[in-house]
Amino acid sequence: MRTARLPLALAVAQCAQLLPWRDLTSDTGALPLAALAIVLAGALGSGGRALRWHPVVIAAVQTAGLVGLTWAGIAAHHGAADAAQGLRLLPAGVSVILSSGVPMPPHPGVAAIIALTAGLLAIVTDALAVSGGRPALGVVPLVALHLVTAFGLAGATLFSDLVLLAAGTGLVLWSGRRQTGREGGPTRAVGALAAAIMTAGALGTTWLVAPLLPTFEPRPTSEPLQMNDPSVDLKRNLIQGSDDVVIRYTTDNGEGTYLKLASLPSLTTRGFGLAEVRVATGRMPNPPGSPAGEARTTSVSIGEFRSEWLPVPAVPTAFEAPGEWGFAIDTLDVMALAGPARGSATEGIEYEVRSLEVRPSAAVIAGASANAAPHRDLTLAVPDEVTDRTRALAHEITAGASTAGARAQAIEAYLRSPRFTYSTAATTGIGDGLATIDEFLFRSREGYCEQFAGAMAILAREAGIPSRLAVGFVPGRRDGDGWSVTAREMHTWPELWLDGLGWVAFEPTPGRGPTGEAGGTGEPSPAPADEQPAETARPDDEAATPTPEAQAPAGETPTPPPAASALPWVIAAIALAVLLAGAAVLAPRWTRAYRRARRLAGAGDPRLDTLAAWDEVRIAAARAGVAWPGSSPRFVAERLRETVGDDPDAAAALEALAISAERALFDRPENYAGAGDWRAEVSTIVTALARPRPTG
Amino acid sequence: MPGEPGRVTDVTNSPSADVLAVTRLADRLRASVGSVIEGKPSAVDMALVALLAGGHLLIEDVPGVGKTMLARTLARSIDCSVRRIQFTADLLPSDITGVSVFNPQSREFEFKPGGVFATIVIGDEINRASPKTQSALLEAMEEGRVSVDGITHDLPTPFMVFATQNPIEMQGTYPLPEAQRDRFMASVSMGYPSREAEVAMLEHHGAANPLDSLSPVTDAAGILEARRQVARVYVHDALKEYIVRLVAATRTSDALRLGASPRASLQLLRATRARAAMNGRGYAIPEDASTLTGAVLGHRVLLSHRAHSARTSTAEVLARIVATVPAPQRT
Repeated sequence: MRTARLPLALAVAQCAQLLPWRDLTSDTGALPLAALAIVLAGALGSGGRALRWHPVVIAAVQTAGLVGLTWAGIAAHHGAADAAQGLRLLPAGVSVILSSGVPMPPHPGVAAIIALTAGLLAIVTDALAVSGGRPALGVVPLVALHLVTAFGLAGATLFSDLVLLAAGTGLVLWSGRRQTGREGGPTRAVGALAAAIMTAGALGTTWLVAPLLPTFEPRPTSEPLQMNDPSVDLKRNLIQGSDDVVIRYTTDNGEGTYLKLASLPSLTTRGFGLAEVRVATGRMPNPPGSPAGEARTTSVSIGEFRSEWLPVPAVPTAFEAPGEWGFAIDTLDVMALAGPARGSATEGIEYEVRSLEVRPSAAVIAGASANAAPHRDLTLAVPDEVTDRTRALAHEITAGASTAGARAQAIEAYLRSPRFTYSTAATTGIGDGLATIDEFLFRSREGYCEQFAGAMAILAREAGIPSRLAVGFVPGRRDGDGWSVTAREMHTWPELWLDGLGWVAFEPTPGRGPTGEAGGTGEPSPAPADEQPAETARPDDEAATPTPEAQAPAGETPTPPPAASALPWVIAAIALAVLLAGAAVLAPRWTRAYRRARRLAGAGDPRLDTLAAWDEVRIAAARAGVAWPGSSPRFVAERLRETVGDDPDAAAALEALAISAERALFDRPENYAGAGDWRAEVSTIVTALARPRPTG
Repeated sequence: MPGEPGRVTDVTNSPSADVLAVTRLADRLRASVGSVIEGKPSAVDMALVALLAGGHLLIEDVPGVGKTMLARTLARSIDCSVRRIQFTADLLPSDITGVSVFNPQSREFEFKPGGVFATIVIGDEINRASPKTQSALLEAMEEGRVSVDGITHDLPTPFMVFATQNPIEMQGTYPLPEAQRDRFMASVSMGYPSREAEVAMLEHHGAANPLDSLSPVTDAAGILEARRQVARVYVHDALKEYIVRLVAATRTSDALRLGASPRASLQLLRATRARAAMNGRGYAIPEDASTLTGAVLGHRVLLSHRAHSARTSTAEVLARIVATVPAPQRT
């Protein structure tokens, strides 16, 4: 029973560590097969040791068993034909791993590789930790398995995964200690310390390194997502929308925030619309443009609002929402990924978003250029149908401005001037089509947010500033501790690219936009768009939507992700795990050697030095799992001699040290005339004690 | 008590020559007695411990296993006076101590020494005598002197009593009360010899009295000198504390209704010293005390009724106590 504890703990901990792997593959059979492989390796190892087989024989039997199990598992799950391909499955699996993102599609080769990897890791661990009597090495597979997911999912590791790793590490080390029956205060303390340092190191490495790695998991849109332009509903909501609250949210600083649904970067004669985007899951990339801002957390609760777009504050950095959500890499818009009810994925859910709140001052904006925008061919494109007078107007407005930021401010100020009035009456038309915008700019000068925003975005492009429209909600009204937003408070606003600031939101719509009609209750409300200085971008709204690679081509086509980097990272992860575990195994030994050297360095009193040397032997015996009889040194030596029996040097050293130690312990202190320097003897004895013994 | 590991192998820490003299003396005595009492090394060693520690020995066993022979052999190995007193129901105290007799010629009372006046006194079947007679011997053992008619007569030194008791024939006997048993340093039980030892005994002793071929290896002065050396054996304070803890444990044990007295602690300490010296050490180690605990405390404690009905023996209880009281590992 005692000898079964460590293998059992190893199997349990390794299987538990497979749980986070569920995100790596969509193959439901792969992980159970891997778990079976781990259990089989442990069982064969224990059985072999019970039969007193040689460790090499045990490893051979385990490997044979693993291959057989994998083959049978593939045959059962993927069909006998796949299994019959045998070895050719593995290269096929490698190419699947290299060419696909996460989660990987079901493939017999991938399943075989996963099962073989887990099984081989378990076999090596079994040989080192159990057969070799080095339980601390049992931590290696845990860290390796953990790092594979940590790097494979590029930082999508959850806190629960870390807890799983820590628990597994603790379990294995605890069982290992029980296995060898170690005792003794300092030894146990050192062991616990080593375990703590090792666990902390693994966790720290994961958290530190993971964010630095490239994300390689954008999902190729093999089944393209058809997203609907949320602005289609805008006019209807503005006019017919009820005053019922559809969204409630709280922010950690108590202020209101615009909630954005989607970005519309593509401009045609019919106005702004969605562009094809690359969708990813997992960790959101850092927004390029490197806007500096404060981290904010917003908790949102949605009522009767159905959308496939998740309302999030500008510059989201992470979100946690029930259901399957992905994000567009280029715009950071969050969208529902799958399911028949994708169109109403937002209804009734509660979620949390972390975002960056950027508040550039008017001066900063005025000094900004706009040269480094990603996808300039998309965000600067202007259809030929744009009228000449629009072009002329853009140049006229921005004539006095030297920088892109100043030009943007000038355009915003122009649209907010008294020339234009806010109205949802259909005098101008609906939407932001080129004709409507022309009509709005030069004839009616009446419109609502779509016309104001569309006009500004088009004028900005004419003035050389990349632009796009954002669709979402204004902050709404304060409601207790949080904020509430009605359907009528749907809104659209332009976002202009400024170097160093990313996508900066502007508010050209005068009045309070849609809230102007519904509001006016005198309740405290967030700084409404019309009360802000025209020069200043709304603080809540710098929807900086950076793209991961500035030099990347426009994201029209779902380019295959750089998944080729997966394998090197996995290899690096395993190498790192081995290094970590090696250091963890060696660290206690170095610590012991150092402490021993210090203890034996000598207090100058040969008697005390002899006692210290004897203590050293006691510690070494405890470490080697040799029972220490509670008797005088010479009887202890007699007992230990059975352990070091085949080493005459150690036996002689043990006897000499024991007699001196006995004398040092029980004779008159002044009578002690023996040696004080026992370093050579202690070294010989400790080495002999640490030698693995043949008995199981 | 078998020899210890590592005995006299240690050169750097060699014990003083004085202790080695005791060791050699004990070795010679052991060899001498062992040539007659075969296969009983622990009983012989215990007798030597009592001899060197200045204690008296109680030998309890069935007849014919060599109780008296042990005492006689040891006495013969020492060149000193030996008296044997066969205790019977009609033995009088004056037979032990001696009596003052009126000498008509000198017209004075002359003291006729009793059986106790010898270096080694063998009291055979001490439980057959009346309590009064028993107490006369035990008083002499304790005091080292005898008072007859108001005059004190010193007993010779060294002075040692070997008393034998037969635990089987209880008819017409007066078992020693606990207070009297306390006077003995240790009690040993001979036990039957092994088959090989018994065959060897027939081989060697079938024809002649084995004592005839025995010659003394030391004399009274040699024993006294050895006792002086034994008294100088160093016992660390931690070890003294260990001895006290061992003895104290007999007083709190559930299996015993009578624990050992402080006198027992003192005797255990003395015996510990003797055993250390016999093993070539000028200092005692915990094993000296723990090995002797059974022999030194065994006859002083009484089993509780429950332990008695559970057929637990005193030796088992004491072994358990030795196993539970931790020996000093650091000093």
